[in-house]
Amino acid sequence: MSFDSTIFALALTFVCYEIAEALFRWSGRKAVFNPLLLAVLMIIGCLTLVEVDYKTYFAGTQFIHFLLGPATIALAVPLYEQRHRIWSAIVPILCATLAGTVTSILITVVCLYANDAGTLLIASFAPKSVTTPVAMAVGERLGGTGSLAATGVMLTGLCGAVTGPIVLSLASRIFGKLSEAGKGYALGMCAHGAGTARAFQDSNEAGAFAGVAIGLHALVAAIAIPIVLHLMGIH
Amino acid sequence: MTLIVSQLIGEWISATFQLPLPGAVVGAVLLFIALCLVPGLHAKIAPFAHTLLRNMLLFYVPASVGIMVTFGEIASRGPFLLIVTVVSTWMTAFVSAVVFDSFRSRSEEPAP
Repeated sequence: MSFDSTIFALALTFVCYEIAEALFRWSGRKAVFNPLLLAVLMIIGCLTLVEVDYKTYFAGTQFIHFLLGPATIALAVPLYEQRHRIWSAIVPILCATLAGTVTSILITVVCLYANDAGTLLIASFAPKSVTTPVAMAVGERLGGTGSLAATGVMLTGLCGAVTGPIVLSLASRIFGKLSEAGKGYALGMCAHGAGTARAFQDSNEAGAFAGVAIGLHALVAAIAIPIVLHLMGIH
Repeated sequence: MTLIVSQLIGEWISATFQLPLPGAVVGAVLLFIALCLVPGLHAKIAPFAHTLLRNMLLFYVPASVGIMVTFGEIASRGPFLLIVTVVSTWMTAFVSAVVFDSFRSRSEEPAP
């Protein structure tokens, strides 16, 4: 290549992300116009077109990738700001976090294990309902890859943000009307940031609880996934 | 600065004690404790933290583009992975919401 590949990778990422964000806003924040999904598809298209491989691209975008760490740490700030609200609902929060985390991990791991999926796939997909930076770190640590883990997280986020509210209205019909906090918490549990963004469309209360769910789910899952995999003899 | 130092200490603790938790998560817990101990810290880091969180999706992009490499590995299991993802996501939403509300109604005031 005759030009600097770092500046090319950075510019490509920023431009595609800006376009994706604009499309997302233009669509009225519809989940299928997820800016992450759109940006990734555009970048893959461009890289294929100009024949730059992923290794070169990723090396050029280290600077952006690095910021995932500080951003994960920053999750402590909204958690701190909401501490009184969390504390007042601590019992349902803890019970729902445990139940939701166990459900998510067990269904995923057992299905994949029964299908002979192998450590790479199981370790990468087990943390798929956890927020991306944590899912990638957990997946890599247990024998998966960060990009596969991110793939699982993205699929899950799209699925949860689009179909989660439908499942919740079905649950309302069976068990009686669900609270805003409960619906929000469920969206944050099953679909991390994508679910949280969706919950904020319903109400601020739902969104705040979804945000809490992201943080606690990440914490519980980061502890529980290694234990489950260890018990199953995978790691 | 506080964020980076938290991450450094988190990474260090995670590596030293061989914790299953990623360093960034340990760092977030440390930062939360620090915020509780030193309330003045919040005003200092909140603007930067919220800026980071608002743009968090952008930071996911470089790693996510890795799908172009890993796609081949999962393509053969694509439909199966989709089904597992959908089923576990639905069940997680369902279980979380029902458990949350059944304990909420028992333990505290109903929603206004």
